[in-house]
Amino acid sequence: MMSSTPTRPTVFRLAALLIGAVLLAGSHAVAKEALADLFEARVRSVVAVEFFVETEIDRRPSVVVGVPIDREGTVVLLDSSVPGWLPPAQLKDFKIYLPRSVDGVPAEYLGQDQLTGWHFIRASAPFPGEVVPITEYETARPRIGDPVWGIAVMGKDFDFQPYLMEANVALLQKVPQEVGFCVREVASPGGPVFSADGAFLGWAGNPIWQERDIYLEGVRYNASIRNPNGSGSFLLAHEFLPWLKRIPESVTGQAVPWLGIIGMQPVEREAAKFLKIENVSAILVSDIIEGSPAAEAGMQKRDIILTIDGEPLPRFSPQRVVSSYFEREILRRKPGDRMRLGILRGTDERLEVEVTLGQQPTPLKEARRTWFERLGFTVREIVLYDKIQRQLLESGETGVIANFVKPNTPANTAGLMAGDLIREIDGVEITDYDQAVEILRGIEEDPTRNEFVLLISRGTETSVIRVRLQ
Amino acid sequence: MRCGAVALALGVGLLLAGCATLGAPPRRESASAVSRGFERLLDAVVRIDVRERVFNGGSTRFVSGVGSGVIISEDGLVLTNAHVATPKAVEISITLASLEEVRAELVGWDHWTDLALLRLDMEEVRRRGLSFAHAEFADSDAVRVGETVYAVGTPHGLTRTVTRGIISNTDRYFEASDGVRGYETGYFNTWLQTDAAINPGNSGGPLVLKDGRVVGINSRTYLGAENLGFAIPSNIARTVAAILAREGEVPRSYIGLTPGALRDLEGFFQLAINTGALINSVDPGSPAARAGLRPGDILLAIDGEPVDGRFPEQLPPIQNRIASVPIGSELTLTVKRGERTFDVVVVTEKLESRVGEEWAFEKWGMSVQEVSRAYARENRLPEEAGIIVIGTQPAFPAARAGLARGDIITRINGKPIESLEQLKAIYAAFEEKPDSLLVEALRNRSVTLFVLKP
Repeated sequence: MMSSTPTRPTVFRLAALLIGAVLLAGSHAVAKEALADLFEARVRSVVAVEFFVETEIDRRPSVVVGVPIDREGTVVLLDSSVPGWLPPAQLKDFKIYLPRSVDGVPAEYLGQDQLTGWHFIRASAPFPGEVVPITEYETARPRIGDPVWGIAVMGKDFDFQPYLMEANVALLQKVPQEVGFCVREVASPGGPVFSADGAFLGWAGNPIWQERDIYLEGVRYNASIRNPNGSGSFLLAHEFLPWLKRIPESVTGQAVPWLGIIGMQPVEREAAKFLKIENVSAILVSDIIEGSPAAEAGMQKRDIILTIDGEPLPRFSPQRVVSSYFEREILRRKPGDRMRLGILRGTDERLEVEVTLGQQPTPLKEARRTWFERLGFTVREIVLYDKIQRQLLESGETGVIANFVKPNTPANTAGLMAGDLIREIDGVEITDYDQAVEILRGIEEDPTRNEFVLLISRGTETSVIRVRLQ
Repeated sequence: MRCGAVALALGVGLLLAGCATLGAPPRRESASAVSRGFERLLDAVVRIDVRERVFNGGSTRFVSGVGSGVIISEDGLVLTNAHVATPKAVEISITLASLEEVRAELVGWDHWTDLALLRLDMEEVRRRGLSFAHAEFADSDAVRVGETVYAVGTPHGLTRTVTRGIISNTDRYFEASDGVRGYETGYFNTWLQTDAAINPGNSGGPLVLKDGRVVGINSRTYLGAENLGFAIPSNIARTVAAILAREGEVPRSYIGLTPGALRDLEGFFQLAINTGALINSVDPGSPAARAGLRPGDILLAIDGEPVDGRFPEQLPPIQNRIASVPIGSELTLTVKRGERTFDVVVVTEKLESRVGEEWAFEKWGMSVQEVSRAYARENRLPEEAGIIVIGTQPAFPAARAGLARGDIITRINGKPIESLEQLKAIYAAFEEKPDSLLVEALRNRSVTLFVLKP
């Protein structure tokens, strides 16, 4: 995500650009004349997107880069462009800017696709004629060593000036989708990457953390660094284009397929050898959620999954990628679809279970929430995620979550903290969200009220908190 | 040898120190300013050097530390802090006022009050013709704020250092779930606070009145602050020492509730002032939970005797009252919930620490700790059993298999591991005939498999 740009960082960014230019001057891989023309033509396939995240107390701007995918005005953004836990209602005022433009076009947030994680937005009017959707180029498959180039976009104060980045492909790897890794940064995260002759190669991903050792006054530190405005990897075109039709039909309430298992761990080679399942890929299931499709199908804690519909799980390096692969295999199906899973139970029992995928319970970002200004906090409905996180599934504790507590308010002064589980309000046990909101609204709207009492759980501790309203 | 403070708990540091010995020839002249009682006390204060075995880092290692203590009986019982001499001690040596060193052994240990009882090797004392005095206790309930007190001990290894101050507070409330080397402390007592200079190494030394009688055992200080020291009141120290001498530990009852101060919630709970204590927490699965008690209930009386928990300082005595009944007793608790007042009967269990037994498996390069009942509850572990990995040595089998600190071993070769004894048996078999083991462990609550290879 690009930040809105105060002066100093932009100077640094310019400096970085110059260094990039020097590097470019030393490269003989791409014919310069052709590249300048190609760049001008391809700049028409990248946009900057501005939006605001609104919370109870502030509004923060964000600028990200995306690519147009049709002529109607639809743009795709990386999963990281918008934090996944943010309720869509808090995302405001999307605007799409063409490179080098001053005025943006208002746009609507269409939602996030669960399988790819990508966000989609659509402009209020079709794109002007000069915009070329990314889907309209010839594609090519890069090979190791190929020179590649991409487009990056500067901040709003630079009128979203596009600039060129160039690199070579260093590695092609399935993680589990096939990704090209470059010798250096090649585009803005979310920007397009092309071949020397202008074919579309892929979509630049999230910046990668790079490990560095740093010595400060003789002391060695391990540091992870990344450039938030430059991406050195791209999802290959054949892994990108087919999924662009997964534009969410609605921002919330999507039917997301769900199995109901927790804590998938790849079985590492040594353990696999011990279990005599070497040369295959396997996933160990840590727990099964009661009442979930997995539980209904008779799956058990500690089951080791070996096959899906008779097909062995593919092998990846690193091995842990198999967990993401399995997750995608569920997400690309639909609720109600059946799946046969081949399982190793214990050391020698082999069996196959047939699961009928269910529908994922309310995700965190869709949990209902209400802000109480006078009290100083927001309550949120408890969702499955909370219950897993807090180990509440077995204890059966209920309540609502204090989602946000504003500093220097009655709730904050009384000691309520964000994340607390509110179990009772004024001695009344809270069993559902609507009940909690009704009681709190009653307190908030009663000017004669000068205190109320909460029973909260924090970790394994509970305590009674008295909130004075003055 | 370690130097300086060795532990920090919520900003309160224990006073164990380790430093080079600083010896000086004894001076035995009687100063007019010092009473005979004080002289006698000085002859009862000792320096304690402890070498102990620790299991962190995947192996057994030995570390040493220095603290203070006070001889409390003719037959050579020495009172000190639990954090000075622990059950992990392999060698305890005591330097008497005459600067002669004598071996000692641990008689009893109670981290809840931070007290440990040692006994001088009386055989050696007799053989070498050594002599010592023993201190007398004063009534700590009778001391007043502002009264002059002296701290005697071995701060930073400076043997027989006396500092002077006053009692700053007679009823300081402080508890910590990991206050004594990772063990709980302060749940059953309040502390005397003094401004007499107390430094690392003073731990276990006495806080005394002008006449040399002991009012407290110096235990902790706020590191980074000045002149904020804390001592275990003598009345508690005396009782605990007597039990330790007899039984080696202080058996306490547990019902699983944590009281909270009512402060000014009386109005909300419709209570008369100075009545009842709030039940702040109820441990899952504990006797109190099984009896149906819930956080937010008000505890009005224990066996018909009213409870007053308006302020935090009043909570340790309530906890102590519950803890003091014999294990397995029936307690009738009078509880108020909303409008309703009712009695429940709970049967007490033995109080256990959250710190389980520790051990090191040298050939695996792995040190472990048993999962205690309290630890399992605290971490909401699915099962109460398992063994926590507390350290591994690089390039040893456990580390090579990928096991790391914090993993909880739940099964080996498919069989549930429920006790340290079981793991020791597996280790013994491994030592005899090394063979690969399939280890199942919980890491961040996820089940993970490892192979431990010879």
